Amino acid sequence: MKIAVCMKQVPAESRGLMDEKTGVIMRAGLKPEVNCYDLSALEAALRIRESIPAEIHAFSMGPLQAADVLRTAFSMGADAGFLISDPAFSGADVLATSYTLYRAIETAGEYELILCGRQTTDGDTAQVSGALAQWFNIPHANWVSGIEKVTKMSVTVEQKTEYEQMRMQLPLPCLLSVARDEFLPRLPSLRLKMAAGKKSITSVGLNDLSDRDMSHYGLYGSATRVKKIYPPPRTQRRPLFSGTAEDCAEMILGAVRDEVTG
Amino acid sequence: MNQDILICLETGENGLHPSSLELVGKAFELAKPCGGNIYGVVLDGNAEKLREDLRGLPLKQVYICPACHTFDAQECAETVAQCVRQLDPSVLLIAGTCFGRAMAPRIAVACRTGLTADCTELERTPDGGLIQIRPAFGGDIMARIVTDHTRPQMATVRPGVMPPCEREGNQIPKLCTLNRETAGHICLLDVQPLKLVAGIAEQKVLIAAGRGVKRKEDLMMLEHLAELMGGALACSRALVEKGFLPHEKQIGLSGATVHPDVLLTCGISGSVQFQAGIRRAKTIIAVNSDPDAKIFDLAHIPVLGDLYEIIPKLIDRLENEKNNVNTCSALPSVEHIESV
Repeated sequence: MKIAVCMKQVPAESRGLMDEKTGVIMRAGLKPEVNCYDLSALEAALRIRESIPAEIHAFSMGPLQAADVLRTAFSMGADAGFLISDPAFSGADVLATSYTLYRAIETAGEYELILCGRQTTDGDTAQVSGALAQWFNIPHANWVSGIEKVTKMSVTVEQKTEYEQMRMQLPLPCLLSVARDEFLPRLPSLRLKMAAGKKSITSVGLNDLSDRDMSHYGLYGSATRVKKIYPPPRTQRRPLFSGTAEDCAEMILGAVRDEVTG
Repeated sequence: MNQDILICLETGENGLHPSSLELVGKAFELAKPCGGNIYGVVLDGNAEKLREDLRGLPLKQVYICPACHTFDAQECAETVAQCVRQLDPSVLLIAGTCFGRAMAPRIAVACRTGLTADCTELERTPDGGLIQIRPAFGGDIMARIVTDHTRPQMATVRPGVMPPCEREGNQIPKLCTLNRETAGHICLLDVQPLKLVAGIAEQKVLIAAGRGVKRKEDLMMLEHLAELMGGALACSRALVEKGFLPHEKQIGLSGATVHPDVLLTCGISGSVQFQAGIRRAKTIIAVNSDPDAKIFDLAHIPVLGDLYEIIPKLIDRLENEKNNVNTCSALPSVEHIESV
């Protein structure tokens, strides 16, 4: 069985990115890391490989430095890594990002399972996985909290939504987006880490894809456009209360009492 | 091209999901600058049961597809895409529920259009353009997003973010059943209601921990405080990402929308994404050591100080009162809601 895992590099700190006076986004100097939710997707793949023979391929779309994501994937046990990077891919929204991933994964062969994390920490939309499944025209399930059984034909999963816990069977190929808490990622192993440096990463650029029409990718291939970014409006605030810790505790307690006794 | 709006309506055991009413309310507003009708589509709905629920809502027509299964996003997306082809709406709104979030991106791809997830505000231009507003880059920046050349302009909105629609009049929108053959691929084996033992959305008193909480062990102090106050512990996204607390404890746009009587935030800066989850809290008490923290914009009681100094004092006070039998604590015990 072949499993594709989608992993994204995100800024380690997910706040304070804009200079409120100038409106400039401060990206430089922000340490990148692997989106923590995607590590759970890889963890899920590794657990599947412990039960049936499988080959795990990690895919990361981003600038060249996103190769670090794939090295992390190697050190956890991924078999191969694909870096989807091309100036033509930048500035992509949900539509263009999912299309790029679709075309890139396609270059590496056919996969029975595609695994994604539940969301990213920077985009926070949790929409690319569903879009990717639609491009492949395969079924998908989100919020997968357990993978019970994988056969050559199907996968049985447990899914938790707002009110229900479901067990369902999806035919292969399919896409699963997994929950984080049930697939806490293992630590990279030292042995694999040593070996990771020797593993080669396959680069995938526009010229490697079956569709090389630039207007389908990146900013040009995006249907949405960010018209303006701005700091959130600050509202009129009440005067700050400050004092000794005792005073503060007193103040809080009083406010709580007023509310609960009405 | 028309200026119509299509809404994916969601039903549950108690009829129309509150988030659907919120979308209808917003759609009514969005139709004002440029005109256009509002349509609904219900997947997995029983027309007769739904009829009363739709009374007085400003919907022109509602399509019902009883053959769809909400657990199969592929099947549902295909049905909605079919409605889109038929109606050619300018805007398509979907609730940011589990169901909506699984289906929305598939519809967007099927229609080759743009999608903005979890909008906190939506506006419409006189020529029908949908301005999709949401926090970006982790939550401290707002972005105004437009869909220039493709239709429908798609957006999802998390439940509880927008006010529900007021019903007016006695009319029931026209219902139309879609007799669609569905070809679902997913086989449902078994469903169990989740026992939400006092989920954070149901609590009357919430203590919310944020980035200001330095170590995982320190949460025990806040957990203890929550216990003394008859409430529960919740947190901001930062602590979920650090692995301090599970996702179901998260307040905010990508977590839960809460409406407690008292929300005490400890070391939470108050990003837009967090604020989106607390707008309906009755009293917000914020403790933060940064005078510029955004949470103070929203807090009813903004307290500038170190949570590591204030919280222990608060715990001392409450414990003393608990031990003193003669003092009747004004804090009532909170009934734990077993919702199914």
